Amino acid sequence: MRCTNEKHSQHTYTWNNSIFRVLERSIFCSPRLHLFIKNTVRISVSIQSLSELERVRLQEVALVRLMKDFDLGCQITIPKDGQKRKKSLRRKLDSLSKEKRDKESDSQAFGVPLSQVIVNDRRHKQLQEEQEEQRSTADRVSSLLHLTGRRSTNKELSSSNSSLSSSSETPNEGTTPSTPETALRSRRRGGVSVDCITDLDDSHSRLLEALQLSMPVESHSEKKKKTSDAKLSLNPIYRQVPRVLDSCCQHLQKYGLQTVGIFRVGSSKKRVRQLREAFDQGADVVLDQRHSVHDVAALLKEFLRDMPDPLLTRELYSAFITLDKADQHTVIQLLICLLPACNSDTLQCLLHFLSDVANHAEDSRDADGNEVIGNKMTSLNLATIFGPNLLHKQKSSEKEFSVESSARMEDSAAIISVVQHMIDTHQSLFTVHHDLNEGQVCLQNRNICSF
Amino acid sequence: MREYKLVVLGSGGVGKSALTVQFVQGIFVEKYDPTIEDSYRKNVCEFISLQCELIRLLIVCLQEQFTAMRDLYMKNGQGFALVYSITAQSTFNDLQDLREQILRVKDTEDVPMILVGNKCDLEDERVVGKEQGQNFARQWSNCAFLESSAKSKINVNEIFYDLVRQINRKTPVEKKRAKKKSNCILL
Repeated sequence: MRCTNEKHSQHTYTWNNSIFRVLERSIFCSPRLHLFIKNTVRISVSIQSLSELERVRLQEVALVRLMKDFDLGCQITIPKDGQKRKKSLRRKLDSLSKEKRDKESDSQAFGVPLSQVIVNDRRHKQLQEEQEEQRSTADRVSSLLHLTGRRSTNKELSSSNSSLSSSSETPNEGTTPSTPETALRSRRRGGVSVDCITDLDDSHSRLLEALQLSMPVESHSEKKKKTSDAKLSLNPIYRQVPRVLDSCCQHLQKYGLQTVGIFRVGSSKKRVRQLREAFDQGADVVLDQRHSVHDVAALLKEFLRDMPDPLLTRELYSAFITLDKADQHTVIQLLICLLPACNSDTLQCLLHFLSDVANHAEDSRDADGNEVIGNKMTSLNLATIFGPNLLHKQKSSEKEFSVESSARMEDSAAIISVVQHMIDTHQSLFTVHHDLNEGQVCLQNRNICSF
Repeated sequence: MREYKLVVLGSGGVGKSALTVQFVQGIFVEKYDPTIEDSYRKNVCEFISLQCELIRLLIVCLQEQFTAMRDLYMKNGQGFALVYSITAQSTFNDLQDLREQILRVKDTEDVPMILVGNKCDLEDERVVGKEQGQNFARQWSNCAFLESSAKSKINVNEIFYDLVRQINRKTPVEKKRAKKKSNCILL
């Protein structure tokens, strides 16, 4: 039995996600096992390795803990991940004419809700792969036409399965599955989100259904809505980081770490606007050494600043700035658990990069003993610049600056301190510790009992 | 005692804080910390022999993320030092927008202002020529222009004294009403 195997060797395990998943399954099978978990296992899992379903649970548990154990002095709610807004937008799009759709696609990256940016990026990737295919084999053209025809009628924006279904369809057309085709298929499967693989796997979805059935009774109606809203999978969500942010970070990682005053020094407004437009049109932008690091840095800041809901969300604004210094780390950790998956992934990516920048702040010597000039951007400096971009209450376009600004000045010290702490400790921020996990496990167990 | 409100504006890293601290405290700050907002005061007794002048300096960062505060400072400021770094073209280009914004907020062409090319000790790294600065200043209805260095203490005091002089010229001290006026400002 799996369970007993684990029992024996659990001290040598690093708790990677698959084990966690197996564990979860076994809990599901035998509630008694829960005791054993509660008493002995010290789990420390990264949030990013959790599945959609686990993340939703985590949000709930974190919220409960925050309210129970910490006096935050303010109301907190779980931030919406834009799913609802997206839904309504989708509905609107469906009902409205096609021009509206075109208009909406005007901006693909900037000033768009983060979850929508992710969807756009995914679509972009699919489109790109399609084009690649188109180029590679001529005899696939007909099947592709068929595909694209289908796509336009497909109302689902995040049609990750459509690309998969296409690959399972196409081999039937060819008389013999040629080698390049199969290679293409496997490459593709790796390229798309992990989520869509669940759709193929029946056993997974059955488990999923079962788990969703075991939701707590008290919030059953709410849960029902949720399940119909989004299909929660047990597989880890693929890394939801917007393309713009990812390519900016990669570029700066490569060319900008030694630049004095990176993110602080001004940029060319014209070139930044051009880059922004390119990304907004969904063009395939490749950032390389021709691009000035300051322009790319400005683009990154602009992307964060123009998000309709800031990365750390409006809902959590007060919680972040009023948190107590004493248990700052724990509270920040819990608050991060509350963030929608795409925000959390993006934040992790950003913080990881920023801490790398901060690590190059001081002058140093390379392996050959040559002096390397530091970029002078310590975590405090970076927090000063990024703080207001990550955490703000109102839209920058709002006019009440005169009233707001005085209040915001006081907040800004708190914002900077929180963001600095995040940069300094980012490595341990995105892990769920055993006690919290226990809560999660407990919750599930209770559900089983109550069912 | 009359109070002058001077605002120092410019892109990030051009040396606004360095200039101000050099003027107020006579030291060159080596640290490289971005300022969001800072205010300094200096009494200048020797400047105009009879009167004791209080200069209140505000440093405002041009970083885009702090735009909300910028308008407010422009409204309250009396004289403006627009600073760029002679080692970075973009910091120079940014100032045109900034000037336009000031004129818009003030709703007049006649605003005490000085264009400052800082870091002139870094001659090796110069990107913005002196003539470029002068030309720019000429276009700005003959605005004052100086190249300065906070590090080598070149033209630092001159920037602020020139602004005070411009303000004096624009609004001459009226012995009786001056006091009242300053009270208002303080409030």
